[in-house]
Amino acid sequence: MIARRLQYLALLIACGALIAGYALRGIWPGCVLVGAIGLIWVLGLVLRWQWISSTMFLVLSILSGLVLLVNAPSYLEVIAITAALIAWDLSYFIGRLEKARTAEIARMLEANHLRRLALITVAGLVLMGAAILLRIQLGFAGAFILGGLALAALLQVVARLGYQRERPRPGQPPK
Amino acid sequence: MNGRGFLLLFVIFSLFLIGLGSVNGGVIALAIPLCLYLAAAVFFSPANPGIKAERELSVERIFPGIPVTVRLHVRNDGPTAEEIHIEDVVPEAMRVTDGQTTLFTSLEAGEEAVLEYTVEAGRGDYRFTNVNITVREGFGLFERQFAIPAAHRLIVRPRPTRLKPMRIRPPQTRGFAGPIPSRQGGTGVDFFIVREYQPGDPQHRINWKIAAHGMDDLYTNVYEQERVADVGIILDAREQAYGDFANHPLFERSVQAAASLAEGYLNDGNRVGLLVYGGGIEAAFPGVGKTQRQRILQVLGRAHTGRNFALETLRYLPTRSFPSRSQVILISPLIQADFPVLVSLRALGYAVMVLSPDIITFDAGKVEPGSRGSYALRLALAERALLLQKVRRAGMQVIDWNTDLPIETLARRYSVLRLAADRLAEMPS
Repeated sequence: MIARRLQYLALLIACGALIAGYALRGIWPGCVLVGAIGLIWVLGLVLRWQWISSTMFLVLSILSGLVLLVNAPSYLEVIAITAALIAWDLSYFIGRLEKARTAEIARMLEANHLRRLALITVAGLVLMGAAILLRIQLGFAGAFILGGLALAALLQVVARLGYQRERPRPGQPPK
Repeated sequence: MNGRGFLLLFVIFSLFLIGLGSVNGGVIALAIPLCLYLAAAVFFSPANPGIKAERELSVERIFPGIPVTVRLHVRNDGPTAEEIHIEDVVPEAMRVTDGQTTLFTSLEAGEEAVLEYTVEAGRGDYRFTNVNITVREGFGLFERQFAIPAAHRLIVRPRPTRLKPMRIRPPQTRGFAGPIPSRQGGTGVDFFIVREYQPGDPQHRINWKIAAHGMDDLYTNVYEQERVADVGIILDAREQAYGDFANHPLFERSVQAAASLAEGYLNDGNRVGLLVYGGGIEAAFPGVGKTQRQRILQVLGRAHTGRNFALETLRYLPTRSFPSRSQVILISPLIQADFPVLVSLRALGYAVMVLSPDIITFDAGKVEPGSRGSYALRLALAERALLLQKVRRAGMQVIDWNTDLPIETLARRYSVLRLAADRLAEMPS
């Protein structure tokens, strides 16, 4: 299964990038901590602990943010958090994929998922790189428009989530 | 949004807070791929699915142990469902012997998925209800769960044993020829009476021995007519009759016996009805032929023990379900309170046969002789024997059925053929 191999690879990259980040700043306890987290995550995956992926993803994300505060190279953290996201996503996807009845269905679902994940990852990396590297001077008007757009987008998300929660399921009377 | 979605939101906000707190744009930028991931999940979150399910069963009515193939067609008439998890709800006590009841796949608009599996079940009435569907977008952050109705019913009927049923003698028979002595003279096999010769009587019927004793008169042998009769089978399904146990295994034997007897009497051409008296009253009104057989097996397939405070005794037996002066066969372990009701049934003119499975021996198992249990067992058996004796003395035929003996063996013991053979054996050579 490609997804499983990719998951372990992503995990390795995430931990490796973070260890490198901490090592470059000479924070050796941080390196040991990240290494230990990586090992626990792998162990949890092997032993099929349900909670492990989410917990480790949360911890690695926070550690990625913290290592930036000590002026570690930002590209390493970008790689780390993106790889952690992939590992986290794939761990749940593999769990769902195991329920697929035939290998053919599993292959189809896997291909669709990986394609979409790759797209999101590449887009995320590009945007993140742009955000870190590019410096744009915004005037008040520009900032105001962007702020308005962000607010509108946030309201849309909230409205959509609320709509989904309130709508009755098929076959059930509305409350 | 599920728990993973909220976790992602938490991570994003944590990065934002750390970035804002430390005035570090790089930390905020780390949240970008996560935001993009969440945005993609929101964009592709499952819309209102137009999913329909239809169930097919290879057979609708079966006997126990016969495998049934269930085929569930799930069709997506709505937008594409990227990930769909279909889980069929199999009724309890049904065993899946082949295939799987769940399916994880992807369904394009207009596409259909088929879930196929094989089940086996014991006697009973099984109802398939809903199919649980979970639709997710590709990242699994947003999901919708709903139950699609795909109702179906499977009745597993008891398998009747082929047997020659017990001999019965109801007070009244029906107009058609059959195997049951009708207490009326006519053509038949068994000798009935001798009467004076009437012109038109066939010569071979003249009783020459009696005629030789008289001077002028001739006498004719009259045989007993054999006809079909009305037979009503009452299956006792009261929990208290089975030691206050729900679904007592002895009840299965009683159901089996009811099915076998009904089949036997129907095969002889009799009109047979069935009444299951327990948690409620279920009946197959008297009828003949193969259709009636199906009706009776259907009712027996659904039969189960139950407790109903209104039906604690047999007092409320709807006796009108059976024609007057017909044969009633009660299959019941019997409790003390049943005796007056049986007497009143007899008084109403019914011929009553009680087939009583021995619940005490059945439940006792192997009690060691000399132990305390053995004395209790002896007392309980004595009490039961007394009750059966009382019923017998009230003019009813009682068959004490030790269920170690199969019903067909028991029926053979009480059948016409066996009685005739015994009578022959008793004759002086």
